Amino acid sequence: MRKWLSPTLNIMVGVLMVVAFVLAFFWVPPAREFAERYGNGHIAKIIFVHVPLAIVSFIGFIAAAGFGLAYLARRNVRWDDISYALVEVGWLYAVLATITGAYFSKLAWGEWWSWDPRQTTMFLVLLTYSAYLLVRGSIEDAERKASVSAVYAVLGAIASVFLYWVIPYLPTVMASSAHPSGIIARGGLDFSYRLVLRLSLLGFLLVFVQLVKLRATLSHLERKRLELSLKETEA
Amino acid sequence: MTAVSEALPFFLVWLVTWIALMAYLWRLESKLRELEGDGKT
Repeated sequence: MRKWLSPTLNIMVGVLMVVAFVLAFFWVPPAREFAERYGNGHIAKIIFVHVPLAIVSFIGFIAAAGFGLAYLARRNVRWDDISYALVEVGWLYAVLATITGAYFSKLAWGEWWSWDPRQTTMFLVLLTYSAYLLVRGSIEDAERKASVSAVYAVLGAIASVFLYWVIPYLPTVMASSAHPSGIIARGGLDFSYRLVLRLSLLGFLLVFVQLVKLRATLSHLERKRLELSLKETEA
Repeated sequence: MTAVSEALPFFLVWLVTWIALMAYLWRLESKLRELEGDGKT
């Protein structure tokens, strides 16, 4: 097992995700409302991947802001490592949520991208955090890099709250959106969907935690190596 | 057969997502191994 990660947690994640997949594939029935709307009730199962990815990416961006604030308060570089790891892995989750959403769009509406309000807000989230990664990568000085990243993470989190949870739920926006979140919100999916969605959400969250731990450890080691090589140069 | 082909999109989404996450994990691990190797030499 991977020595940088908890083996027990790895096994738990593996079992959880296999159980979630088997239940989703073999036990969960096709969703009636999706079958009526889109002609294939099985495509509703894409929510078992798409929704957890989107929710966990949001959690990651909010947590990144929290660790960013902790860095600004204490100036401990460990908080910066974690904040950056949360953004990078959160960005990956957001990209995957966008791709899986686009595939659903293709299956349900016949086109990969239609600038539906949900797609547009997710696109803005991706732009926001892609810019974070570019800005961070362009700053040489470690202290300045950490401070700018922390402030950006806080501003990004404020934007994320609006882009994930406020704008898509405005009545006028919801009326113009074809996104099926309304079906889920009003309980249009049966118990099996709710159960597997929770299992899957937990699984994706645990994977996220493992990836963040690994990414933060990598940043920590990279920093140590840089400090060592600077010392060697000075000597 | 119809049910299997109708469920295929979900299988593809699951598969592609896991391949992407595992590829990222392997990339991180290989970088960590590289750094550890540097530290030992």
